Amino acid sequence: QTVLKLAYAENSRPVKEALQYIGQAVAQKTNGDLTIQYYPDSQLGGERELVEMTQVGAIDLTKVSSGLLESFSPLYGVFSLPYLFSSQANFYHVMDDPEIMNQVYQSTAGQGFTGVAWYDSGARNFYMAKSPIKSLADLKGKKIRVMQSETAITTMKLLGASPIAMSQSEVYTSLQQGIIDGAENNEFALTIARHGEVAKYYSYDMHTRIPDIVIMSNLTKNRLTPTQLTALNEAIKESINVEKKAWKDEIEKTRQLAKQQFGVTFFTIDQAPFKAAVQPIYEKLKTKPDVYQLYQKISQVSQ
Amino acid sequence: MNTIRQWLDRSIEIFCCFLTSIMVLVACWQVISRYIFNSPSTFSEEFLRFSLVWLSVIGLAYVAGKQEHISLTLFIDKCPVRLIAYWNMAIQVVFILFAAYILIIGGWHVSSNAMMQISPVLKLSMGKVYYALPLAGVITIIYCILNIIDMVKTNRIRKQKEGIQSIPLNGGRHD
Amino acid sequence: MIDPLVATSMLVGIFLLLLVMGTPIGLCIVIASGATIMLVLPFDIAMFTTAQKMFSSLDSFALLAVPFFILSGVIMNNGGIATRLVHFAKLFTGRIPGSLSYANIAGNMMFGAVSGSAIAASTSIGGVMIPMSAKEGYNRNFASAVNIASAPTGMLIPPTTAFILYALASGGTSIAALFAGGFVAGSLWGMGCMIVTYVVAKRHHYTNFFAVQKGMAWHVTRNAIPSLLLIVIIVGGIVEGIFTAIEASAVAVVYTAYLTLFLYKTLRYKDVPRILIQTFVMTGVIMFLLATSSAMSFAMSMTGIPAALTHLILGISNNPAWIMLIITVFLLVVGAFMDIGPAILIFTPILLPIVEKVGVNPVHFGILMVYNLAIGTITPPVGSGLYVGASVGQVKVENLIKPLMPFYIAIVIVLLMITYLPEVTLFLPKMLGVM
Ligand code: NA
Ligand code: NA
Repeated sequence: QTVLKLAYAENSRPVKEALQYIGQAVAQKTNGDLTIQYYPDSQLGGERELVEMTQVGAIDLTKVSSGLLESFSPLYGVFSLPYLFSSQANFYHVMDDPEIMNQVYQSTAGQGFTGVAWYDSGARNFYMAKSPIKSLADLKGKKIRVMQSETAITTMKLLGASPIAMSQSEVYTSLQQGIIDGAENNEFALTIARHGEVAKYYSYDMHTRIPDIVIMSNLTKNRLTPTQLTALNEAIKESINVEKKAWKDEIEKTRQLAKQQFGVTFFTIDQAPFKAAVQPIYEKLKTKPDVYQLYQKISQVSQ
Repeated sequence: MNTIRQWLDRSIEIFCCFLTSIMVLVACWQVISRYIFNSPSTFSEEFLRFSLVWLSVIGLAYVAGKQEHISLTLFIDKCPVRLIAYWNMAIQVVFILFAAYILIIGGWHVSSNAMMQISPVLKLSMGKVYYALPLAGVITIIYCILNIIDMVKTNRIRKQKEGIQSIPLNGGRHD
Repeated sequence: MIDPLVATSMLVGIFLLLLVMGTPIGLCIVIASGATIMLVLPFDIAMFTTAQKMFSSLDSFALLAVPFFILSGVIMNNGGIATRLVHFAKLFTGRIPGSLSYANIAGNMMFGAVSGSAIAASTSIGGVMIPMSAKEGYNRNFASAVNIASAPTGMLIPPTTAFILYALASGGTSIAALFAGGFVAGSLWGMGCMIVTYVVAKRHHYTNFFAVQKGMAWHVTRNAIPSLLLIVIIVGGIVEGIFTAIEASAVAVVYTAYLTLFLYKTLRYKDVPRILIQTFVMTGVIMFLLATSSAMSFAMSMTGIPAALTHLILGISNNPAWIMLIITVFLLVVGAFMDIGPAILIFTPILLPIVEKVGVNPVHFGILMVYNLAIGTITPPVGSGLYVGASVGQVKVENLIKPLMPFYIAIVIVLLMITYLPEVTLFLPKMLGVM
């Protein structure tokens, strides 16, 4: 009997459900020969630590943002590019394309782990404390919290905002005190992190769709029997659809909750000017041939 | 031996004064650039975090050298002086083992594992940022060895003193 | 999966054994943790994760406030801010019995507030006040007890590193809210001490006072204002959105450096390296505990100890009032033996999920945790505040226990009040809109 260790940081319900599904499905498929021990809610540490633990086999599986994986392989950086995907359907289509994703997944093999699945993490949009973003002009000079990422910082500058890289745990009080004017994230930030209490204007500009990635240690693959490995891979593949379905339900519930309980107003806005403003970032991308090639492939598949 | 300690103390002290001052300035710059110039610095957060790690681990090695880490001496204080002297030496050995296994071996493993990992803003190799751990380990070991040598010396001096005092005392009894 | 009981015995056993033998606490923690991790992971991976945990616990922006607040405290301690505050405090305590003791309490609260350190407060203020009180006919043991009992208010009145550590250990509780609530708790603690002083001073006829001479009031106030302005600048800057509570620590350094180097001229440039090195040493001491505590909480999570403990405590009772009482007693015992920093780091991740299950707000619990543990700093057997206070007052620790008793009682009454009436402390963060 083999027990695998799966750890993850804080997460939304869809991701937790999908990860729980892996454990149930794999136990069922192997008749309890292979089971999963969970370490939820950052018990073992933050996402960067979890990746490092996966590298050396201290844990077997974890789920992290592809934004973080950019530190390990520049290819993951492609998903942080603004308006890479035209729609959710287009996003799913690309992410489900094995030819594209295998190249990305395998790019970290030399560092002790590979990607095995992706989860939808929605679209990132602006939400503001004092006044809504309805057009590009509303963003001018606004202090916006972004993730620690070169691409995110450049994107904000191209959109005319002042990017501030601070840790997620400081965002709530900073919005409240007025140190920042707004932030950008998916709808869960309003409810799970309770930012809806201090930021009431959420505008759908949908600048990025940054997927979550499930990664597995190379050592784990060597440790499992072929039957166990097949069962695990199947369970992980199936969990992608579990997550997609749960995401659809949960995001609608979250939107209702944000409206009713937190009093957040949602704005649907014209994305075209935003999209036009960030185009120079793709010119700059040519300096990174590997990433540029991947970007071109994604564009081809998108058409 | 004392020259090694002096040289090491001085280098670390200069490093800490320099780094602390820079950290204060950078943190203030972060406030000024955001609040006054409305063009927030993007490098400062990561710079300050990494500096803090370096300051802290070099600090813990320096304090180990000065033997000023907090301990509970309530019970050990009641023991005979000679036992305390030996146990203090044993603590230095425990420090050396900690430095060797966790800071140097563990830290080196962490570091080499992260050589390919690039920090998001400053674009530093995380492996190099992690060098702080093995470096602190080496400093700790040097300090602990110097401490042990000093302890052996003071022990010898104390024994000599006890020896000198015990002669007239014994003589007295003979009378 | 390893039995949590085996893991707990191993962790606690090794830790206590090394602790009793006088091993530095950080070393006790890291060795006990490394050994426990080895129950579930191979040797080289256990070393890897221990080292990694030590590093990543320090790799935190919020932690930056620790060296910065220490530095501003050291600057003030060396720069003669204490005497100015004592003189200012005496303006208000004029002609009531035990006026010098009130001045000591008020001085500790103010100095603790600006320096963030209870020890610094009790040495600086007590160093001025105790000899003065003894000369005026106060019992030296009583004067020292006043100083010791009121010193921990500085751990509660912001800025204070204890709350920053709690905010980190609890996974991002608002520091601003903790500061505001801590201000209330610390003030109540101080008031409790003042009431005790009133009763004792009246009984012993400590009517001699040391009033500030007429016409000096303005001079004394003017001297103290720049020091007190620090609180205004920090709180104002945070509430106005100019800087975060973390960045405020760097602002505090710059402001206190300006005060002592340029305005009061009580420090010279050649003092600066000595002050930076002193800060560096104190940072090294705290960070060693912090880094190793993080390895310990990893060891516990990996072996399932927190879940087992939660199960155990919730098994005794699920009545919130009882659970809070159990936890209060537990923290008082922990505080009696351990220093406040490591205790916060080790027990927050274990206790917070339990109290959250029974509906306690994380901000409220943070205030209670620091308050409980702060009591431990002035109780035997391990209490830096008690021992430092005794040496400042040049009295024997044995002789202090009796005069300290009424203070302990007052402090515990305040504790019960803030434990069972959350609004007492939480109204201020809510009013300021930081919670
Ligand atoms: Na304070
Ligand atoms: Na104590």
